[in-house]
Amino acid sequence: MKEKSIRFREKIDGNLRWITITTLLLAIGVILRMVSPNIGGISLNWNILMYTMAIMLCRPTVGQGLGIGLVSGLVATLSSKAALPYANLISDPLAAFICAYVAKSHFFDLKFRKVNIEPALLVFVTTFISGGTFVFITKVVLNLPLPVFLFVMLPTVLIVALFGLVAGQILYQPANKIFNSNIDALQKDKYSLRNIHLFVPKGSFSVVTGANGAGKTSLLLTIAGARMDYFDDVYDSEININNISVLNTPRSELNRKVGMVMDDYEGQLVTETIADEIDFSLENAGLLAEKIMKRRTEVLQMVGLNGLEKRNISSLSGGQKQRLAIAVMLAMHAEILIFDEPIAAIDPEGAIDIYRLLKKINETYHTTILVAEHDLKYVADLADQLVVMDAGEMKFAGSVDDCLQYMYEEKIYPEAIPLRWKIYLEMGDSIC
Amino acid sequence: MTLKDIQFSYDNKHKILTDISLTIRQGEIIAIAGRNGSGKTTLTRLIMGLLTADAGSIKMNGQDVTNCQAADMAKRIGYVFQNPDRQLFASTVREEIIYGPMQLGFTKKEIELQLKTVLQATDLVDFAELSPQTLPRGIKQRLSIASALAARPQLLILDEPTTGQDCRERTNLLRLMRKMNLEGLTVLIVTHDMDIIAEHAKTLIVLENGKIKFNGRPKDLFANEKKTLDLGLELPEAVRISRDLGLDLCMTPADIYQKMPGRRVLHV
Repeated sequence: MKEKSIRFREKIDGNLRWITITTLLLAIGVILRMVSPNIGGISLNWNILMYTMAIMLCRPTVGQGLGIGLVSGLVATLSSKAALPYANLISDPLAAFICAYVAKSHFFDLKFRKVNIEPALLVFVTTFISGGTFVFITKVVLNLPLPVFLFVMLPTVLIVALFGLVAGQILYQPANKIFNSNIDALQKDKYSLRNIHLFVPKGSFSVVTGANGAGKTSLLLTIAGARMDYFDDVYDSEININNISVLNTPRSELNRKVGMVMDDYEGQLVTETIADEIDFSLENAGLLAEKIMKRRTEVLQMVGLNGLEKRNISSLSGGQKQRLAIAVMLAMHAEILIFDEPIAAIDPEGAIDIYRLLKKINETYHTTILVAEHDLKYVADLADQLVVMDAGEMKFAGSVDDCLQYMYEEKIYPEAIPLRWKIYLEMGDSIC
Repeated sequence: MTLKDIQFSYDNKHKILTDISLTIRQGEIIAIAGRNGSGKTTLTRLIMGLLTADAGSIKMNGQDVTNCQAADMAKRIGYVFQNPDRQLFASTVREEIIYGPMQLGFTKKEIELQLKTVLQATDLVDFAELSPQTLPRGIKQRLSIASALAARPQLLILDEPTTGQDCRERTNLLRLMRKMNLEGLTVLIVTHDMDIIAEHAKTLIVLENGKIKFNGRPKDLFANEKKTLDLGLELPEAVRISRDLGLDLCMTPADIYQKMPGRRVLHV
């Protein structure tokens, strides 16, 4: 499994944000276009200015950009006094589509004397494309003379675009402040994950540690393929797990290969009895009754719940429920088992037993095991690899000894270093 | 506080607590340990007045409080649940903290003073206007303690306070508990974590099947490995390490460093 600097940002305000901002700005654009004065018959095209601003503020996909252009074109067609208003239905979508593409690529993200001039350039280009397309269609459809097109219509478009250039540059900063003031902070500081460079060999037992909020669960969800529901697609690399490119693999396939037991494992248990719980997933996977029974017996034996098939799940202890959740994943023949804080709600005796069970599964079936754990007391002796995370960033991955030494020296979550290691690291050679 | 010959059952048939006698001395940290289902939580609920004993007596500062209801006991005892979400309900940290004092009839001036004092003591000043629900678990736990402290209790009961907390939050929480204790607060902590008991508790009570199986200094129990394990407890890490290294019994990491040859300053 290999990952390179993924950056995930939690979705901000859902999908309605770009629609809300665009609708609001387009409405303002229509009103301003109706009431704004003109100079020598030429006035600023508020429609284009506003949808360009909306695109800059939200950075939508090109498809969404096209949608914005279509709405704007329709509004302009209905409100325009031009000779051929229907041309707006082509010119605006085309210009908005290109504008969204350029905005997404940050092609005009340039500075002039320390001032970002992207708003000026983008409004100018978008207005020129839209206006140019509009007058070209008008010329062709109405069969206007070429000199009129070249020496009257195009220069007019150029002047309108220059008006837009000035207005865009002036208005963008206040608009950005109004609509994006909280977003900038979120984008800068609150990436769920970044700088992930992780390789987990097949059949190994790896532990990810870090304080609460360090990004352990986000990393596990990413590997389990849950990122589509939780994260924006802000990443610049891919995750490979047992030669599967996680970010490019359908969730259904990941679900078959990766089994995840959440910290709230009770939420994963949905049936009434132990036997039903195992059978449920296997039936859904289309297995025959005989095979289901065989697998159920095998996995319950493995986790130490054999003989309790008819027991009601609600009567089980926390440790037994945890074992059942593990048994379900084993029954599904998951290649990789992921655990989020597996002993969080279990007493120390139960905690040691759960980790012994995970090690036994790892050694018996060569299942790759990845555990997120904030307390290394019970698991440090079992792990082949230890990974430490801090504020969404992967700081170190390596052998347990090397990682603990790194945590100690760099003061990255040193509170988690088990006392035995702490003493060893502290006393150095004198302990030998 | 003194409990004498306490008996308790939920259904008059199965005894949950039998012959419980113990004394909680003012200003000490006392720990209760034992397997799941041994009666730890039931005992703290009896002390808190949430349950009433079938027989026996509970005295606090010489006064009989056996039949006192939770509302009366709330003036004397603060209770912090294992899961802070179960006790946080107000819309801001400030409101959460002043709720107890308001219910107990503190004057406006007293409430303001208590708010200021506990916000500072628990290092929550910056969070005063935030919603408790938006806070990380470690800070929620601190808020639960702040709310309990705001009513100026003589005894603070912490039920598994480190569950679900990472090692950093755990360290901060124990530091806070220690600080409160040094300022005179009596603390009763229910925990599975023997390291906490070894390092902080003056007295340890171990329950098994509703009976007290050990009542004394933690050191006296942990010196007997077999008895400790038989009671379903594990040895504290420091005790195990000192045993493995052939040192005299050490209860804390600091003890080990002191007894180790060639020691350096501990800075982790």
